[in-house]
Amino acid sequence: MTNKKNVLIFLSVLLGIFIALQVRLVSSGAKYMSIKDMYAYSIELESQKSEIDQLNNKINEIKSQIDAYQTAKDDDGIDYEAFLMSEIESTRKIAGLTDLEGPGVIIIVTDGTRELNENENPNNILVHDIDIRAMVDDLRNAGAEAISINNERVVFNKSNVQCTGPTIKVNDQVFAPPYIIQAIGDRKFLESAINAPGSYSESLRQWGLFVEVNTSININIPAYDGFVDYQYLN
Amino acid sequence: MIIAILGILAGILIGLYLPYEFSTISSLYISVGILAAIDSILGALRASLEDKFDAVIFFSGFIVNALLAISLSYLGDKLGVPIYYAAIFVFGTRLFNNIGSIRRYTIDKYRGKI
Repeated sequence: MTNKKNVLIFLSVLLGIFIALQVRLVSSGAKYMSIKDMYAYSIELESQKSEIDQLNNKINEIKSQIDAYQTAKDDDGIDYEAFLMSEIESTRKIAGLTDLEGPGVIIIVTDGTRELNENENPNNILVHDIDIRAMVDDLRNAGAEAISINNERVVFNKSNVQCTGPTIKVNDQVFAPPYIIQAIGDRKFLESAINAPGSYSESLRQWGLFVEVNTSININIPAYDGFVDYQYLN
Repeated sequence: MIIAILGILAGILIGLYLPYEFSTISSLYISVGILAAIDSILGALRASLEDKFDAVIFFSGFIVNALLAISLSYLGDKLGVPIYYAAIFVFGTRLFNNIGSIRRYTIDKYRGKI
């Protein structure tokens, strides 16, 4: 009988110990979580940590920038005017307000001269504004840094290419064919953007239009000379 | 019966001051194991009231039930099925059955004495 009682007491004490430990664990705020959840949380933790690292790096970067500005404030040897001028120069270049030169391609597009089939729409062999736009987009995708159409600079936000009957209006100036598109950029890339099978210009050629590409080591592209007047931008 | 309650209280006192803690991961498994252990203790009490108490059966039941419950919960966690519900259900039911038997037996004994 004492043996039995001993076993009972021993196991009761054991149970009590476990209960107490568990209560301590649960009341310490820890809660049950499945292994899958834990895995997800660990991944989230990792990404948060890396984000914190990135933000810390950014903080350091900005701090060093502030330090640079602080020292610049006390330093008389810095030529602010020249710095600001170079800044303005590069901004103007990006905005298309300066004449540019560099290597690139010259593309000549003109209406087709083939005989029309019977009842064929003559529009099929005319150059349209949409053709020019598509070619300009092809050039941009191929990395053209500056583009002009008949010596009219194409800028990001202001240039328009519009259909005006048999002619095309670029930057509010009307042009008749042939259209000469000039682009500064990697000559090989730009040339293949026009000549590549499946490109837009290739399909123009199949319609019977005339498209010719020449590379040049020196292309001059004029500045955008229109007037930019924003009315709705704050 | 008094022995068991005293034992559990003593165990709780000891456990509160033990410098050891379960890891958070094992929390659920421990609680399922505790449920199995409570069931075993109550079963032992019932058996002793009915004079059928066997130390070996009790001891082995205590250990094996707890371990089985824990390992089943773990397996369920790995498989993505909450098997610990089964353990909770079974042990919970048995727990109440045991308590009911103990209660009835005690009342009978009390009335018999009177």
